[in-house]
Amino acid sequence: MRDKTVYTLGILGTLLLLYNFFQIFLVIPIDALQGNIFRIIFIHVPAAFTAFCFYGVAVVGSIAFLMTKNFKWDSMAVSAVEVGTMFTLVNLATGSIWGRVEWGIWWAWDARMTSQLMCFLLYLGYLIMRPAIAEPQQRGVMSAVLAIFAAADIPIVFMAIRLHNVRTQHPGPVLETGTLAPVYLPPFFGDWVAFMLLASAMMLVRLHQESSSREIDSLRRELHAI
Amino acid sequence: MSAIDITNLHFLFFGYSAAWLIMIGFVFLLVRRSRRIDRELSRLKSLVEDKEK
Repeated sequence: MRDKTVYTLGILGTLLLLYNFFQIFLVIPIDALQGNIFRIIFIHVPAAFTAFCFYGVAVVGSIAFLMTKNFKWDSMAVSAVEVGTMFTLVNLATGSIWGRVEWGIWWAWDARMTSQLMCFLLYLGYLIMRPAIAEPQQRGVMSAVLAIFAAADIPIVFMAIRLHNVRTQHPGPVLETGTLAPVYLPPFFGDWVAFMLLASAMMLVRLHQESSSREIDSLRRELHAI
Repeated sequence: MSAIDITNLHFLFFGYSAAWLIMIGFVFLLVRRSRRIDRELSRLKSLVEDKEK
């Protein structure tokens, strides 16, 4: 059942992504100001949205773990963080490449980009910290606290291009201001849905790995006791 | 097509390639870890069965 769900989500996500690529490269018109590099927005922004959704799942899992001490919630949190961090890396890499063309530089230490890099580093730190703590209860509590703390950076990333007194080189929000032409919206949201499907499939695989790892830990304890 | 358009296309290719490489690399790591965990799980299960006999 689980394998079937993973494959279904993976195949649906890949097919939708391929259909969107067809639309992005062959159907929708080129942007008059930016030219072809504009098409990178269809990966760059949906990757960030997907990452933030999964960080949200991680926060829910972390709070639930702190309240119940049930390791299923801890597994949910770590699985979501891992997938979210991967999509944050996609966002940072594609943004950097876009910046190289539009600004002539790979990176600018402005509010949006620095806060997004901080978000990536905080969750990367979460993933690096976990294997260093041997005791499962302690690992779960410390991870949950760090996941919740790191999520405080997400509103900063979100607001970095919306506050007037914050210096940023990053383009302003395109959705709520209506600066993204309606013709670009279907592939934009289509890519977000495709990424969510793929990310859900990856998270299910990670959840299974976490439950198997817990089984390995209990078998090791059992072997030690025999 | 102008030189700027060609450079633009090159960087677009790099951007999409980077995204695909990161995602495929992550899936590769997931598959590799799954295999390692499954191997370890079956090894431990047989060890416990042997010890219980």
